[in-house]
Amino acid sequence: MPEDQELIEEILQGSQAAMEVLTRKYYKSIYAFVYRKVGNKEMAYDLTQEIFIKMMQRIKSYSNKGSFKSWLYTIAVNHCRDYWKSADYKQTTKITELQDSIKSTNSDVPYIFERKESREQVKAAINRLPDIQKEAVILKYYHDMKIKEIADITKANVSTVKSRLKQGLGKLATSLERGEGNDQKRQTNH
Amino acid sequence: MIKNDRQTIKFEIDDEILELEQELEMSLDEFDVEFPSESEIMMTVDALRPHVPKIENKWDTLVASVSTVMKYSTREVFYFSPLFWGLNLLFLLIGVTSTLFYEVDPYLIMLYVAPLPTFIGMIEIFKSGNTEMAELEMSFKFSLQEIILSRMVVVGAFNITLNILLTISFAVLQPEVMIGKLILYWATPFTIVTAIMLVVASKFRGSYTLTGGLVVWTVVALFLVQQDVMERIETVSAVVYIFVTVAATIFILIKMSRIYKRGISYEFNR
Repeated sequence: MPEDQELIEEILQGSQAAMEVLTRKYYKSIYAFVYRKVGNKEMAYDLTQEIFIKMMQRIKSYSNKGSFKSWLYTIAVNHCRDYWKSADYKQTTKITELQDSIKSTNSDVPYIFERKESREQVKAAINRLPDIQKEAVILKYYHDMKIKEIADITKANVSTVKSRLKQGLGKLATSLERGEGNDQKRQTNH
Repeated sequence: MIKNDRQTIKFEIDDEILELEQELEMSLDEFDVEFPSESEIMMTVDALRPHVPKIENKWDTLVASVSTVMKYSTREVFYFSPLFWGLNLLFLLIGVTSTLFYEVDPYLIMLYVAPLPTFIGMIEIFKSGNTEMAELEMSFKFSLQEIILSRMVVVGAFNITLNILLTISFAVLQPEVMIGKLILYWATPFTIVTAIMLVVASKFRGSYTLTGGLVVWTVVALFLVQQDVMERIETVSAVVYIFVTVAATIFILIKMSRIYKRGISYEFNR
């Protein structure tokens, strides 16, 4: 996209305004990707901020070969993978699980609304997928990316991405058919 | 190359994935996203500011910023409403005819008319909620502060042009007027009112502020044109006028540079 390139050139010239425009342009899609991957608002916010900081720190090294969007998503995917492996993640997961269980026990009618229930079900089902399948499914379905694009971003080959997608979507279908996410939540609740 | 493309297309079409996606479509759509608030997004933008590469040479930065704003200003001219141009030309016409046919003091006319385009211009600058400006913001090609700053440049330049035209008209029609005095009589109120309007508009953004400003200015002008007040004003040394004008101009420049550097959200939404 020529606009991205123009903005990057302006940022390299020191333009704060261009940085704001570029950040706002991609903020919501990157946040949505991270949010669906981690399933937690606060964590998604912090990780998104870190991804954009990484983007700014590396912007000088961005070459005009591929699209800027793919380059940014690559940073996002790698950052989430790094976070997944980190000690921070393990610590936060424990706290979040604890908070979720406290919230669930305190609430008398947590799943009254059907929509919320099915949202939680999908969220739990996606969350149970292995990381590499999860990111392929999110990028394909929610970000409308082509398999080739996902392959470039995740540094995998096209057939691998296809296989991840098939497996991921297959697991989701089975899981949602059985209503596993729902059952799991109810179990936590009791 | 063609072979590669064919391979990609072959890979892209996968019935199994397509079927699974269609099967899951309804369910997956349920997983919506809780987005952060505007202020939280702004906090991220602010956190990025120190990471924007800095140009070693300050002069280059200044030239780059000015050229960007000037480039946008030329584009902004086309987004101003005909009302802005029409009203301003009306002011010019009223100024000329009132002195020519009704023998009104040209200095008084100058003093009253000079800041009027600023008020009308401010309405144009802050019409962010509507039409073109929102579209420009949504297009993500331009930031709000760039749009506002560019519009300020257009308003300022047009205002100055208009006042110069009025000064020339008076000088031609009434050779006895002192051009220097005439310039001071428009430059001083113009810069003061612009500086005040920038401060007021930072706090109270909205067309009622501008309408209020217009009313206040008319009242002030009516007070100023009273005979005894006018006599007192005329006794004030030209140095004072120059000093006030320069001070107000410096203030305007500082305020505008803060808008550009810190972003409009910081300056106008505090």
